[in-house]
Amino acid sequence: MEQPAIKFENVWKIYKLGRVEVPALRGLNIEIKRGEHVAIMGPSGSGKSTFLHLAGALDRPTRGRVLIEGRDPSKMSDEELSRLRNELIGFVFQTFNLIPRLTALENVMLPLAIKGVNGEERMRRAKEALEMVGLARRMNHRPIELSGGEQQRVAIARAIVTSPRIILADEPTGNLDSASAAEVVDLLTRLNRELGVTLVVVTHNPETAAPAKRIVRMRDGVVYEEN
Amino acid sequence: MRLLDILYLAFSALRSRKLRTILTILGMTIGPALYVAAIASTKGYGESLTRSLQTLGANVIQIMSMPGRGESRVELTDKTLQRLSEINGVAAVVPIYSISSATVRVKGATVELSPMEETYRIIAVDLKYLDDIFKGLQISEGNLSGTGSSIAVIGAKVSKPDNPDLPQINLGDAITIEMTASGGEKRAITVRVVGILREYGQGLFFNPDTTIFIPLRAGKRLTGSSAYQQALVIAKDESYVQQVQTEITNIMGSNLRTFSPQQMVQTIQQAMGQFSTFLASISFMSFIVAFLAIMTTMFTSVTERVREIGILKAVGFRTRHILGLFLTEAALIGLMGGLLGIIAGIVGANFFYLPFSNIRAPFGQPGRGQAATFSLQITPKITPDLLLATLAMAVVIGLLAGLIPAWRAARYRPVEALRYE
Ligand SMILES: Nc1ncnc2c1ncn2[C@@H]1O[C@H](COP(=O)(O)OP(=O)(O)O)[C@@H](O)[C@H]1O
Ligand SMILES: [Mg+2]
Repeated sequence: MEQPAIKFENVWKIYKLGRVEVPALRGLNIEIKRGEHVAIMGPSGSGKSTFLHLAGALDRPTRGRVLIEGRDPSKMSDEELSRLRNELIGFVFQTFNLIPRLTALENVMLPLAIKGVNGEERMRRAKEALEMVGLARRMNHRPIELSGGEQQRVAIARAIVTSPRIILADEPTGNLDSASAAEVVDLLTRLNRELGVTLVVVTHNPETAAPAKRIVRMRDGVVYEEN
Repeated sequence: MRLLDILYLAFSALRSRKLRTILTILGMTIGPALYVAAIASTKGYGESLTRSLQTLGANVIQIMSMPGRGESRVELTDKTLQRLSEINGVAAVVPIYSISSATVRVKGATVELSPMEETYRIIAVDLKYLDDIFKGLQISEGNLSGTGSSIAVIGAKVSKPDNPDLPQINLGDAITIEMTASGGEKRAITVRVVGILREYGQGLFFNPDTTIFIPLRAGKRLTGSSAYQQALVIAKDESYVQQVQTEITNIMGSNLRTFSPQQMVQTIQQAMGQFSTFLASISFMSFIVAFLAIMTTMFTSVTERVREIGILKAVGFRTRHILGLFLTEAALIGLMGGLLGIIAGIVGANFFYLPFSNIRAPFGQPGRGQAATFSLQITPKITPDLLLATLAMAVVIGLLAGLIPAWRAARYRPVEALRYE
């Protein structure tokens, strides 16, 4: 049987705020196959972002097992987690999270810098990624000079520039007007179809969720409904 | 990850907070500037003093009897000088009459000598020692080896005076010197010019250019005195100077004042050394202040950029990359502050020794009321070693100041950093 892209087995994540323990995930089980397009929905505080962070190796579970492309982050050092994120994962955030002082092109080149990709190739690949999101002509602009939709497309270019296996998007349309939101959703969907990259989109917005083949609803840190 | 990438990220971060970066860099310039200025000027000053000492006469000691002390007054007589010449390390003792008030008649002109006026001064000394008193003194016309006591050797400015009221004096001209001795009787001698000196400039003991040198015997005849105003003790070489000077004071007591260029140079060097130590300690305090300023700036920067740290970690930056990024920023502040500082220091080094650049002989010049003053030619000693060491110090201060902030930045957990508002 083919290995799943993401697999959670009875995963707990408990945050400690001083003495108070906040269980964000309470025995979550989920399996996402390679190349799948999944939308995660659910009320605020239900653990969607926490799930995405664990799925993207930004954090380790408190209990249970997480497998990302068959690898177990709880057995890895911080260094290895960084490498795994750099090589396998592309993140897209609600607030775009571009570095304001860098141009679009420089933002997109960042993940390649870590890999030590040489300058020329780095430039070429970053330009390709920006072309793919339709922003080649604005590559020398800084985030502040771009619209929200454009900034999110730059963020998507940054997520795909390393050719990751998995793209994890946390409310990618949450800060966008409906026209830009539609563009971003189309773009993400197209990347999933054309590049075969596994796509997990956390959203409140039914229109953002609509193109997904599978919609998972979460509540109180567990999957509550699937269709 | 390449160094160049880290440098670029660090540099762009500094640039995006221009004002704060500039202020912190300025704070970092003071220490290196003071340090370079202090060390370069002290070293340059020291070397220039040592060089001047050679022309001042490193092996010469001037002695003068202090006037008006009644019984305890030590007269510089032949007998006294004989005792001095027996001191171990003394090569020669050169007695000098210096005549401060007299009337000089030359080529029909009459010139009154007085301590206040810039005319001539008259020194009676054994002419064969002129060379020891003024190192490198040269004759332009005639010679020094004239015989008899009725001769004179004159300075360049005596021969061709700047003052239009004074006559030009040539080889062979007769000069009549008339003075009133202590008893009230008038005495006069006439000497003939046998040598004219090249222009020399200010020496420590006196300026030969405006001096009429006559033989010692002529001086005795003129003054009628068997006590000299002063004498120069010439040591065998400069290593004997201190010892000879101490010995003179031991034998003659403190009523005989001694003075040597060597001693003076040591005194000045000590003062300059203290000044330099003072500057260096201020510079070290400035380094500490700069250290604290960089640390504060870096902490502020880290706090403002938690989200950036989260983003960088999300795209795969490792702990050491973040550490390196913030350390590089701190080091860059140190480097730029250091660079500006050493430039300021190089400029400043040209001004720091100004209070010390004129040196004065502690006694009045013979025949004149004022002390000899002359300027040292000083070039600050700015060596690549000094500049590099200072720059390195500035960078190290930056690195040390950045250490804790960078460590805090690197330790943020990615999830926390991304949630940070
Ligand atoms: N780093 C954290 N520290 C403490 N509590 C957290 C942290 N991250 C999330 N939580 C808490 O965990 C719960 C789930 O949060 P989250 O995964 O962000 O939910 P969602 O994305 O579905 O809104 C919330 O109660 C939230 O306050
Ligand atoms: Mg969330």
